[in-house]
Amino acid sequence: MKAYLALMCRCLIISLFFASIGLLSNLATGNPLPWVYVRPMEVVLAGVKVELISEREALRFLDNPGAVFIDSRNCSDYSKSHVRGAICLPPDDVEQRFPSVEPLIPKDYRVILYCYGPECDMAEKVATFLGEMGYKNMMIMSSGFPAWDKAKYPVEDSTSKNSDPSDFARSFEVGEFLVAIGAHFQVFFRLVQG
Amino acid sequence: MKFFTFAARLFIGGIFMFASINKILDPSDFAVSIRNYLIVPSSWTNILALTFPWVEIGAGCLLILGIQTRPAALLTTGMLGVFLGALIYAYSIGLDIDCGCFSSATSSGGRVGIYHLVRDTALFLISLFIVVTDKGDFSVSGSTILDPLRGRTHTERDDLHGCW
Repeated sequence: MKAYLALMCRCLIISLFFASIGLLSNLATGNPLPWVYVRPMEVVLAGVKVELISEREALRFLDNPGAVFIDSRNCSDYSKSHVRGAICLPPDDVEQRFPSVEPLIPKDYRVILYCYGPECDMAEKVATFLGEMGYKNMMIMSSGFPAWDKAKYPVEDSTSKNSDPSDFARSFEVGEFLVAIGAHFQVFFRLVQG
Repeated sequence: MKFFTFAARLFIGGIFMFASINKILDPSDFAVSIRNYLIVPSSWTNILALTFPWVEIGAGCLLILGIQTRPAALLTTGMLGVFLGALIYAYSIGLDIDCGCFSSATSSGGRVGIYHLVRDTALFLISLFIVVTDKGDFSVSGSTILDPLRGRTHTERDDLHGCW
């Protein structure tokens, strides 16, 4: 028992020694990293101040009729699971997709964007685009969807609700196409009968 | 056996030294990697990013040189255990994040997956093997000044631990 305690003590001494070298070397650099990380409160994107919020703060807006969530992750991940009622708008094809989702995002709504987490800048890219399109009331849930999912806040997948408007638009186009074919068949049968 | 232990020491020491370089050069990026795991409070991530890589490189150096080998091996085993626990957690809740094992968040070392779990488990076992089998052979310290327990049997070590 004593032997293990002594071994642990030596581990601790070695750890503290090298950890203090790390802290001192940080102080020696021109631009030292603060020891305590403080989450930035806001960023300015396309001239618009965008507040950075946590998943808990974002939850307050979930059932708010004047707020809309935008999922800026890849649509394949969106279809697996996303914040309940969120709209898929990834940055790669935001310009092509935006016209189909624009009616769902009135300019006076509060827009809450998210992506994969703190390392991901996809939400910021979409926020920049929306800022250029005239949206002024935006927030980014900087902890991303993993934190939302981990907190067990409401989620849904694409099978539970078709909330990707472009998919809806696509299915509507297919429906129109089928109706048109049906009409042509009707005319054809009338001609055959006649 | 002592050759295996020596090879394992060089291997784990080399891996730890290599893994720490990018993290030491860019601690803020490594802090982002830690934050992505959602395990520790985000306010702690900077201080962990500043200290952890230095402990890694220190333990790696000590293992290679054979100075304080058992404590260094225990440190690497502990760190690998922590990494493995974090990877299992991230994988189990489906976090799609960079593992941050050998690099920082932006220089991509690959998304957390089975490969990382297997690799970390293997490294953990090799490191544990050093803790169990090391007798202080092939160490730089020719005298017992740096490691008074060097070369002694476990029984002798246990007797000597009282004065350490």
